[in-house]
Amino acid sequence: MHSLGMLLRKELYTLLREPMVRVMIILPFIIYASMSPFYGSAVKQVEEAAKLHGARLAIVACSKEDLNVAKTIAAMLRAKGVNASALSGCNPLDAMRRGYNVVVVLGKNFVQNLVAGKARVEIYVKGSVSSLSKTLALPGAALSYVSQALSPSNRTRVEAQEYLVVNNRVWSYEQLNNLYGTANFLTFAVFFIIFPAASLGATLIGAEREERTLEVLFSLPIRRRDIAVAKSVAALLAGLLTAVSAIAGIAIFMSKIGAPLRASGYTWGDIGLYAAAIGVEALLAAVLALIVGLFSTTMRGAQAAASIVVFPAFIPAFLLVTGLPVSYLFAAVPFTATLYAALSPLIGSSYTVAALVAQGAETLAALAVLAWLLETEVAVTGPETLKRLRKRLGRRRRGGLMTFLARRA
Amino acid sequence: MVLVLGDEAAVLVVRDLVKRYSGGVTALRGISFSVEKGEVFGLVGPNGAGKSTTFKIIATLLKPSSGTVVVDGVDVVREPLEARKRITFVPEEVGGYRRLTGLEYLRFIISAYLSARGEERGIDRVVVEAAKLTGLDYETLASTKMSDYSKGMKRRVQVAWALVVRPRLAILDEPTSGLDVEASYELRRIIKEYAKTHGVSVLLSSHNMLEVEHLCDRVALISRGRIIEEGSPREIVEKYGAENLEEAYMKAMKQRGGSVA
Ligand SMILES: Nc1ncnc2c1ncn2[C@@H]1O[C@H](COP(=O)(O)OP(=O)(O)O)[C@@H](O)[C@H]1O
Ligand SMILES: [Mg+2]
Repeated sequence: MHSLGMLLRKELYTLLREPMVRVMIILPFIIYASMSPFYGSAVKQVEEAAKLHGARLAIVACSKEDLNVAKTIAAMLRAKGVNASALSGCNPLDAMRRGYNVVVVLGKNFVQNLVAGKARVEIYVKGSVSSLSKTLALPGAALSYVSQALSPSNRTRVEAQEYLVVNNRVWSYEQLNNLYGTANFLTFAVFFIIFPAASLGATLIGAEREERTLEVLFSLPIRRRDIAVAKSVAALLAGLLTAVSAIAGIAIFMSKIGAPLRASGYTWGDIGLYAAAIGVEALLAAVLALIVGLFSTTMRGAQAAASIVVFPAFIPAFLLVTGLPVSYLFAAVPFTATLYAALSPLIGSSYTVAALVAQGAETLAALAVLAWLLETEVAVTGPETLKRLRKRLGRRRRGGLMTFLARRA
Repeated sequence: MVLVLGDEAAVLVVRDLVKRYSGGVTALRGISFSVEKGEVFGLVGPNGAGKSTTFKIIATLLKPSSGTVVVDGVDVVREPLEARKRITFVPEEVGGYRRLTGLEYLRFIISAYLSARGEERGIDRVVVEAAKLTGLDYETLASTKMSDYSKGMKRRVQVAWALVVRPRLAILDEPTSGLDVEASYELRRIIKEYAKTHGVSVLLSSHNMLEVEHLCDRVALISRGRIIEEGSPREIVEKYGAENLEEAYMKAMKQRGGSVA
């Protein structure tokens, strides 16, 4: 029994003192905790949309008789707390110009059709890129309120065609919904390259130290800058392979479960920009990993440090759910290029181009920092310096759990 | 910039070298020595004396806090790339890329030197020369990854490239440590051959006084970041009235080097 305790203690030391294992333990917590505000806010947006909170709703009639129905519906909705008015004129865009963001146009001969059980409406929602999940929730909410007003027992079905107006373009609900799904997929697919690229970059520097080849490499008549570039590009290329494998696998998976990836309005130009954005982001991840990897003695230590460092790269991707700021300034934030590229059918390609230029420049700057660090002696003494610095800061970290286990064993 | 000492241009001139690490440790407190062409120069001293630090500064891996190092007329701080073309450095802890065979490793390193000198055409010939010099079975070199090499095999590979590219100065940090009697004998023979017939100057460190006495033309005893004695092994032995270099070393350390580590 005693020897089992000793063994267990040894195994736990081996595991819990390994940086990569520590990262493995802490990362899921960080991921879910950091995701929660984004998804919480998205859920709230959708909930508010379902209650038509903050919406200005117009019931538009196309004839005199229908106007009375429109007025009745509007009155009933107002009684439920919805900001609704009835309009004549049969023109949804006109209603939008007058400040209504949800417009329900009653179909021709609405009253007769209603009696015959064939009532039809067209729903137009004016939405924005920065609140896509809300935009997509509004037509359904409007339809359910209007149906309820017309037939509280839900016996009469109202058929609806739903349109969304975003950036002055009219989209059918299916089109935009597809696009949103694809954009989400494209954004999250980036993770399959950012982490691998970072991990591979870290491997390339950690391995030099672990295999004791770094000092020879740095004493060769090779420019340190070339070493920085070669390592970054190698990590990028190997990262691209993992991305290709992941995306191909997911595409097959999605088509088998009946949700094939649709192009959803992406042009070849959009796809090219997306590819370029992936390249820039993966390269940046690799360079950042190489920089932090310089301070690790082992490969896995470098990989652990790298995954922590590139983790914030995921945060912009969450913004697609809550609402992405469509601005040239925000396009300069690292790791947003793929987001703008994924949304280019909606917002055009100028933001992606801006993001590529800004983030390309940032990547080059990071590469310059890496090349500079390699010129300094940090390349050789990095881990040693870090170790001594830690000691001097008096951070003799003795794991609470370890001490606890050691006492028990 | 060419530094001429008398008639002969020294291959390496180290002057007043001081190194304080960023952690606060002062590893070198003013070290000066020079190495002539074709000379085997030994740096000898206890662990922590500053031998590896000196070597890494010459190899452009570390920057000196003050002082100068000139290799074949090139200042290593001002023109590190030029300096690196003239130097080979084999660190104390030998390694090798796990995923490369010995031959691939040799080719990588040799290409780096020969390309830098614009001598790409000689690469194949030099790789073959290096392979022979390792004394290892060619089949092993060509098909076995370095992850499967013993420490001794790795060191033979390292020393081989460091000599065959015919640098002005080969820096070998404890080249025979961890080698068996036969292998270190062979290595000493090779080092001597390259120094005497090919004019490669060698700067090495060692803890083996017998080795130093046989191999080195001149020796510097280093202790706590200072050179406390310099001369040919015979001069030093005579100066301390000792039987051999080991005894002279012990006396020198006792008298001038503080404690013997
Ligand atoms: N990266 C470093 N940071 C701080 N101090 C170091 C570092 N490397 C070596 N030292 C210290 O410098 C001194 C000289 O070390 P070194 O040159 O390796 O000696 P030697 O090779 O003669 O054994 C030692 O006290 C050592 O602890
Ligand atoms: Mg040493």
